[in-house]
Amino acid sequence: MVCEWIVRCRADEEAVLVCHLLAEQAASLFAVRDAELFVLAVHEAVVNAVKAVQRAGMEAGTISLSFFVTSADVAVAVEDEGGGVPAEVIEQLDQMTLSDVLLAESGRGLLFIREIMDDVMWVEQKGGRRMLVMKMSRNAT
Amino acid sequence: MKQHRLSFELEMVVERAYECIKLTGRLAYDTQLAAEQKLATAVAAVKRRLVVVDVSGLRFLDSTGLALLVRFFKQIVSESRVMAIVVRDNAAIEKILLMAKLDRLLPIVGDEQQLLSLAPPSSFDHISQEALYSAWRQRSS
Repeated sequence: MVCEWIVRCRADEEAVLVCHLLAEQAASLFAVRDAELFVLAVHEAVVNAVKAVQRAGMEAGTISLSFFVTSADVAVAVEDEGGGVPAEVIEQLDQMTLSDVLLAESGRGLLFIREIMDDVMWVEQKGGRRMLVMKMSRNAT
Repeated sequence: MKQHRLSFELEMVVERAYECIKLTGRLAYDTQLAAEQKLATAVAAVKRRLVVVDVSGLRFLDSTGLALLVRFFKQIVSESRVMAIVVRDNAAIEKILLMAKLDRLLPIVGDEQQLLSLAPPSSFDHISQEALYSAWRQRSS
């Protein structure tokens, strides 16, 4: 482990912007394979988390964003105090591609994440919540 | 946090053969309310049959912004108009449009000249979205 960076924010629009800025910094500092797409994937994950908290009606709910950096890759974990992504949505995702939502007006966020990142996992937390963990490789130095 | 990072702007320019809608700033979750309103106003104000959406001034586009673009496209086509996207040298935005497979919906070109070269000038008064798309696919294959 080169470093670990953990941030917890209230789940609102400002959290989306703060996490976006942090993702830009992490992408640049740790030279990920594709900085622009890395930022997009983190942004999409954070937006999902904020929406989950808002859907749960938790006004003071929070999200957490963590970066775990090794010499090979940057892992990002996004967790929310809402319900997270429902298991059935995760199951549906396995069967879908971005072509399936060509004319849709929602449903691209998680598909983008899967398309962009090298690895995407859902880690079951206490209370049945699922934390999204995703990785992107770093450029060789 | 600088205010300019959070803005979305839309400018309409009426040319002889087409109408250009220039988007600048962020078309994303954090600007969706303003963007939704400005795009709806633009749909109602369009005068030409051929609508060119210039996304080269966008600094960031996420799945929420893409959904707004898709909705705008559907509204334009439902009014018997045709639409194409101009990216110029904005490779980052072009990459996101292609990842979302929007090139299966409508022409995505470098500039207006590429678009206008797809058919005789007089045909843009009556060309269908399917015909424009088909001409673009043939030219780019």
